Amino acid sequence: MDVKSSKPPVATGLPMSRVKIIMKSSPDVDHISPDALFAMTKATELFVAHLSNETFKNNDKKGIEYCELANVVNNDDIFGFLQEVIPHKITVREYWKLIGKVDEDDDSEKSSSESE
Amino acid sequence: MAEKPEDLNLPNSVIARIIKEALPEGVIISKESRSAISKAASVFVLYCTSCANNYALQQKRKTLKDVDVLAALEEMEFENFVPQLKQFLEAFKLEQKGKKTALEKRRKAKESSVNTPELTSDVEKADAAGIGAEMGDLDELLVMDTDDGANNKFEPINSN
Repeated sequence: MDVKSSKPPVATGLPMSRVKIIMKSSPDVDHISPDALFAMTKATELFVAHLSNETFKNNDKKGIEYCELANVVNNDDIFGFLQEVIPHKITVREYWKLIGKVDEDDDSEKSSSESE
Repeated sequence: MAEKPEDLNLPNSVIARIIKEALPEGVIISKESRSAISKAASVFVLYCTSCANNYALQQKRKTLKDVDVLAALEEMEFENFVPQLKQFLEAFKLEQKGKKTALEKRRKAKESSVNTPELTSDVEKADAAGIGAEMGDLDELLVMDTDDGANNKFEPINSN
């Protein structure tokens, strides 16, 4: 993560007010000091940059696609808490197989395009 | 207090900008990826807050402090964020301190206009030298109109 300017920026890109709302939605959170709110906001920005970078690094392409993001999240332990948020996508057919709706031996039909 | 769904989301425009700045020029991020990263950021805040809160509770504190956030990041294995964050925090605290000092200055000056004037040493010097308004080396100076004791009048003077 590169900081563009040499001076540490005090301004935040993400609105601290919004970050505070998310923090307050967590149970048992009473008071949040301004320093803590600032730290959390900045940390989130660093996180977004880090996740984007990790996804880009692992894929030698010109862009970032959802499947690449899902790969990073599901392969790296550090992003374990995101596995339910950014799961791998499966086809409808694969899903039916999972829930036992379709006979596994019945592969006469090709699977449909990726579900969205 | 019920939160609307969008309140727990972070603004897409800012997220998009942060992603763009983190990557080399010309890299395209699909809309779906951007949306997923935005959700991930919200979840990150929730998870980090939860860890930080646990840390604060362990220390028998009800208020989340910056040290709690830093401890949470270490626990989440994002310790590489910590050095940069500490720098940011230092600058932030300095700025807050500066704002506080400026506010206190103004408050004291306001109070002194109500009571018998307690002039700062600089103002006393100014009076002694008979300078009055020309104190270019001070950021802000409140000058008392001492001609009429009953009619306390003062005006802020900016440095020229």
